[in-house]
Amino acid sequence: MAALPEITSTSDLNAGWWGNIKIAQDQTILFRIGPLDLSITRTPNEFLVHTKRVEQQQENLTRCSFDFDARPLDGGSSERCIFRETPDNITLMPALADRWVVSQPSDPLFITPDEEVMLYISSIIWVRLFTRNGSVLLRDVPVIRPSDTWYPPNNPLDGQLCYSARTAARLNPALLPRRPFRAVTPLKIKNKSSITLPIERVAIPVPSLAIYHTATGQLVTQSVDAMSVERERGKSVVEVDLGKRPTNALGETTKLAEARGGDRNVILRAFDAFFE
Amino acid sequence: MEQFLNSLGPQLWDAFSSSLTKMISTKKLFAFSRGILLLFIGYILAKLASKFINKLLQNRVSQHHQKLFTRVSFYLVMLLFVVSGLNEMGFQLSVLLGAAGIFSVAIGFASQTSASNLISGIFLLGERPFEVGDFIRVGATAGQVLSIDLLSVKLRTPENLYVRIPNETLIKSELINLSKFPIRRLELKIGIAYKEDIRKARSVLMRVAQDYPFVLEEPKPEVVIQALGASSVDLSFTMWTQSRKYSATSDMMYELVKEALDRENIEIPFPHVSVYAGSSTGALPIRVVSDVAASLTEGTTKS
Repeated sequence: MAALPEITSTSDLNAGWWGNIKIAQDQTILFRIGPLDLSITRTPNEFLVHTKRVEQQQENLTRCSFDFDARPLDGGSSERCIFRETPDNITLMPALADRWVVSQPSDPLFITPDEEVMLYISSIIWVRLFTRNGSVLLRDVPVIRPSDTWYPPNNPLDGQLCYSARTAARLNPALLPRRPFRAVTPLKIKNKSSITLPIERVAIPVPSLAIYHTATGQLVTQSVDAMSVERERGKSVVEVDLGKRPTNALGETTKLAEARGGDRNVILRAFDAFFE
Repeated sequence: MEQFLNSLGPQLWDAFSSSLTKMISTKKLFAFSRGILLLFIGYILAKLASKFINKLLQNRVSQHHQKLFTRVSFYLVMLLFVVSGLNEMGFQLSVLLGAAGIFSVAIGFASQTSASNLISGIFLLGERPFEVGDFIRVGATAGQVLSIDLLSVKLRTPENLYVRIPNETLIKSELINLSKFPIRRLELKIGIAYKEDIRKARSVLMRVAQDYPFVLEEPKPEVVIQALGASSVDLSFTMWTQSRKYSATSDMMYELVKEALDRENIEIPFPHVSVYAGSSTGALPIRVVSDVAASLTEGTTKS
């Protein structure tokens, strides 16, 4: 993984908003990303971390800025992190969701037999605030709190709690809108069965994915490969595997952070439940 | 006479002490001590064994099974040493068991309920309808399970009261485990005025559910017309949420629904009754009185 950049008032955030930041005593730094406002105030013995969300209007969704001479936020929620002596550095990092994400395409998709497709599906980013050169985690908060959902939806006894997302399921990465708080997962689906594969929703094992960034500051993840294989006539199962890196179609990528950690066996067991 | 009584005392004492000496011989004293020592050692070993079993089964079985096996191991080890100790002390166990057989008939009649509770506890152990920590409802009593014991289950109610429910009651009654499954369906009953657009109300309610993150996207929320009630159109608004967030979600959703309906000017009617004199008769005459005091005074003056 590449070393993290130093973020200052003159940094070009189009190349990425993550990095190390120097913070002086009694200084407050305000970070705005999408609808999330995050302020950090340093005092001799504590860090005061405030978070607040604004309305999700179009102009707020593209926000990404730092204010190095701000005041602590009013309202929202706050936490105090106590230290004997607070360090003079903080680190901001993106992270993926801490649960699987069930993405529903805006329109149902159908993949015909013997066809293969690469879909680009995005998910919400979490912002992680560290100190002591990334060794102490102060806060881990989603930019937008996604709705909960259950997967598979027709089995309330046995399944798992996931986050829900809507996706345009684009086929062309060039058409992906730039959002500083979303990460794109390339999902390759192969239909090796003799029946058309309908896709109404896809459960992506997001906690098991590492996060990368492109040269243009777009957050991406390693790819996910799913293959639908016919076991019996008219019945197919899905074999899922995680790619080693993001797809080459996204260009040159650099690893930013490892996966949060997911049970690989859970992924392998998700054969029948990957598509619905 | 006096001499006789004076000599009787020492004679009685001599007879008593020689009998006692015969009974408590050195050999028998040692055997008795050995018996006591065995009981003492047995207690310590039983404690150690139960602690070992407890540690071994930690995180391997449920808390309920862990406690049960710990107790069984303690009593088993203790029983072995008690039998050895009594044997060492010179007690004839066959005689004791014979006497126990007679007592057991009497005790059996007296302890029918306890025996039933004990056996019900064993069935509960096998069936496992709930675990320690689950929130259950039995009849009118609801609470968190604190322990599952041989004769009864102990609950802590939301009012922080301690409730003991015999195992026999649990086997015989309907038991609802409110925390068995991770998600639960929540139903809100909402009435809207007859004049309101049901489709609009449905859309408003669905948007409220969609915007609240702890209502699950799937299984999908539903709005169903339950009845055309006496005062309102009764809707059943169902949604799913995590079991542990059930109360908080229910509370918040009622608040959000009320706010949303108020914002959209959708009336939630009070129960009311419309009075008609009949379709073939005219309207009931009504006089609007703006100043009750003035009208009362006017009436008094006229009369």
